Amino acid sequence: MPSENQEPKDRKTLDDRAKMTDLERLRHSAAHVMANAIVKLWPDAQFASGPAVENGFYYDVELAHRITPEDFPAIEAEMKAIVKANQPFERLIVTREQALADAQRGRLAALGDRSAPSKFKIGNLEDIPEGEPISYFKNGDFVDLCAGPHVMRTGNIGAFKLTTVASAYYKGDEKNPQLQRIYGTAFKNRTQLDEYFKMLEEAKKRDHRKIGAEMGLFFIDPEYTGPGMPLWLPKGTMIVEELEKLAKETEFAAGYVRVRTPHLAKEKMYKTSGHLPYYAESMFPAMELRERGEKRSAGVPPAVSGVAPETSSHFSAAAEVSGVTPDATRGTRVFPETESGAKYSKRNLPHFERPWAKYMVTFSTIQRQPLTPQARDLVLKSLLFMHEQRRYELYAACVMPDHVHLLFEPQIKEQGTEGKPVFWPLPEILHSLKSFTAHEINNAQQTKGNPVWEKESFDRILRSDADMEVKFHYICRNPWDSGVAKQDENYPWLWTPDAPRRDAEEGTRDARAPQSIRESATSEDSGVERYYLKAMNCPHHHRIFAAEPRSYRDLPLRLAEYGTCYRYEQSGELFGLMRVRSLNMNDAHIYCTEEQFADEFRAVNDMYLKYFKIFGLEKYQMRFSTHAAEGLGKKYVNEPELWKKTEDMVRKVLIESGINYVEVANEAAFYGPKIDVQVWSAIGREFTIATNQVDFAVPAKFGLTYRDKDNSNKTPLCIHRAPLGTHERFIGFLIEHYAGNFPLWLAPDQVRVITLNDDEALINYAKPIVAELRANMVRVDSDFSATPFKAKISNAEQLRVHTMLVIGGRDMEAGAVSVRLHHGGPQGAKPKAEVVADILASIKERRA
Amino acid sequence: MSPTILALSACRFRLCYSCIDGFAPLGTHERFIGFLIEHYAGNFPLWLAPDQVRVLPVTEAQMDYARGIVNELRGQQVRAEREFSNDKLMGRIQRAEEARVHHILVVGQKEQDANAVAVRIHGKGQQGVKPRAEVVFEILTAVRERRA
Ligand SMILES: [Zn+2]
Ligand SMILES: [Zn+2]
Repeated sequence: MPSENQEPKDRKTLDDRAKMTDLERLRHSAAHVMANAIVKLWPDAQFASGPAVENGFYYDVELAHRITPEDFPAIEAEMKAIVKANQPFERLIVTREQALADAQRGRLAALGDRSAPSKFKIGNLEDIPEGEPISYFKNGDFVDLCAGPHVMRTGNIGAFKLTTVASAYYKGDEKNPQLQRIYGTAFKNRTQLDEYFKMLEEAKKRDHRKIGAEMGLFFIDPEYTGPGMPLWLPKGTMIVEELEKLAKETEFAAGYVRVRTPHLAKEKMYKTSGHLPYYAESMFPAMELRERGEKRSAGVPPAVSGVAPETSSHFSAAAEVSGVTPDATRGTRVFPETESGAKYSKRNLPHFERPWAKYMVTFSTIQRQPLTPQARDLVLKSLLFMHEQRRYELYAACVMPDHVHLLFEPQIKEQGTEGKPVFWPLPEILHSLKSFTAHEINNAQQTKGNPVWEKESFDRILRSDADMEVKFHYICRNPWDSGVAKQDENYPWLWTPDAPRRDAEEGTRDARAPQSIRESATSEDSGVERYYLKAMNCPHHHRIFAAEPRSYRDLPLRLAEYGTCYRYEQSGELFGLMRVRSLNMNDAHIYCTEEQFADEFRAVNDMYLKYFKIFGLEKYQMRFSTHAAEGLGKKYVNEPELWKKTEDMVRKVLIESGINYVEVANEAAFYGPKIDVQVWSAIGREFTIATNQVDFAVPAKFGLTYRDKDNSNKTPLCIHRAPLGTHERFIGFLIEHYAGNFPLWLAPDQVRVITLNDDEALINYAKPIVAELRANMVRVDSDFSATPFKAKISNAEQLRVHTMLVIGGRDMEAGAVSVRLHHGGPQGAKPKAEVVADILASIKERRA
Repeated sequence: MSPTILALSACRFRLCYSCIDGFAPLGTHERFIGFLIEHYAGNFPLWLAPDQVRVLPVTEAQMDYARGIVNELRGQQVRAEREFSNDKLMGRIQRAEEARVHHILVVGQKEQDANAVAVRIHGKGQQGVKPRAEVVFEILTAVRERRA
């Protein structure tokens, strides 16, 4: 992320202050001097806070006069005078009472007493915890409430400049008054200040959004595609694919294997990974899917199960049973009319009957009125009665307070003509069930003819054993999933054949479904499946690890994917390619044993170094974030030994490989130490392009294990790594880094062959050169037109064509071409074969 | 595959426009690879085979020789690997056949001394001993030309 000014939301702790760098102290001191200058010019100015921030400082001020950049010279002149006076910053310790009294007299952030109190300073005082010393810093007559630290004297502020004015709410709360925020920056000396502004100037010229548009690399289309979701245009895609090719070759050499995963996953995936609920804000909202049932599957024979797996897996547990009072259109899509042996009975809902078919049937009480426990007893008894009467074979029954679920198989009623058996028809079964139970209930409650059930029933034919299992589990979970029964409670009106018959008197039967069955429920509203766009590839890769039994022989397993992820960034934070909502990540997950970890981590580092070299990145730094013991079990997974072990290993590798790194305590991720990779572009701007993460917790959450040599099951460590970050950010970075003048292998327009004029002989000489280059996958085109030669060159230069091969009569006679580079001008004439070979070699070696 | 059979298979997998129902699109990896799996019965041509080459050293003495061949092929982006274990050679060959490894290159002392390899192709059996360079060249060419 390019550094944007970011205000600290909370007050800095003393600890944070002690960590402030020299430059931050200098910049914060400059904020004092700026406030001093402003209050000199506008004595009614009321100041709030003035911290150092990335790239500079600011001070928030309330002032009747609206400060504009036109005021900057006057303020800077006052500041210059204060710096020149070289006043010392004196620290004074005061009591809270004293500070409050001074603030009431308007003395704080002022040159003397004033009629209006220093109201924001009173508010700031409230934020200082009891027991923390309260201090003033004074330079000349200017006294400010401040905990420091500062430079010794105003004269230490070498060079400064005011930059912009913005607005901000006091303490960042929009209920508070809106203040003017004056930004500036400061450096040790003039040279550094000048360099900084030169860099900004250069960065503006290299702005990836500007160059991206000039070159036609990408297009952001908020109205149709959506904000933050770049469309890669053909020329941008060329760069994307070159990067992927680089990654694939590099990863192939390093023993990675590639995988591909869908862009969505069910809620369970992210609950298991812990993204939900902790990361929910950064994910796109869930898609709720009420499965409409099986897709038409006619024509695909079951023999090719690997080919059309949808036929069985399209069925979803919750799907068809969700509607106890289903909508009338549902059945028409659910069942193929062509199903052999199926009979369509014309009622409001379609019903099918098949010999030896198994059904899931649901019917509900009239207007969903609840059944008393006694009534539920009667219903369950009647259900079992019909089972004993061999009307059907019952597999599961659950009498819920306001509906009933059944899983059964109608039995043979009689032998029909031609020896074909006739089964008890479903409508007949349901009719007798309903009228029999209604009668029983009315009798028991001494009512007569009260309707008990809704007329309609919802039935569903079961198509496979897997389907049967899903429905069975659904029924068994229903009392607990719906919240009718508490988790630790029995539900007496659930019946399955394996359970002993319920004894009404004792009521001791444990009718609870096995724990594992209940836990497999996917969402509270069991009719709805929630899907999320993936924000991370890791969980998908974990499931790939889990897809097959793994042994120690399979490790290290390195799964790589250029995976597309979606993150819900606030629209205000979206910025070109740098902050986006859809990202293509150079992702991989390395599953390894503890013994393999150091080697794997070293190999990942080597890969970074290789990439840095290719892209000519001379300045880079690894920011190694470690845990802190006091955070164990809270901020960090409670595995003190693993933390120590992995951190020691990471540190050792970093030291051995001689990589420039800094270690930051107490900034690790929850699951393990983290390494952020920071690089500096050609103009010295810093970018964080990638994060490595050691993970010793999530594989366990997914139950990932491998069988070790001693036959025990162990959980692997996982290294998350993405050296090339995302295409979006990395290409955004490269555009600035190269200012759009990409090296040959990356350049969208690699070569253009240009003839001096449209002379036929020249064209005939040039054509085979184009053909030869294209045959070698070089992005080459030609300009053989009659356009004046100078214009042809200028067109190519404007397009940033990397290599121009110019052909005139003399070149043709000599079997040569004249080479011209976009970034280097004319290179003279060279033999044709040599030029072609050189182009191919430069691409293959990815020369800078 | 004859055009008729191809058309029939295509139709069966709804690869032709007339058979497309609703939104199931033509030419997806999913459908097309589903088709190819049946078309080749899992015995993909070399360029498509997930496991292209497996080199089996007969004894530990040929480990380095085998590694050299694997590295040479991998340097050219061929999916090649080496397998050595205490299992008998026949067992390892059988495992490679079961895994549908396209090219199985067996190297014993004799092959190593002659800078050669014994070639075995999945489903086609032994192809005899050939010079190493020739075999490597053959493999690279078959992959590049996407030979059937
Ligand atoms: Zn201060
Ligand atoms: Zn990951």
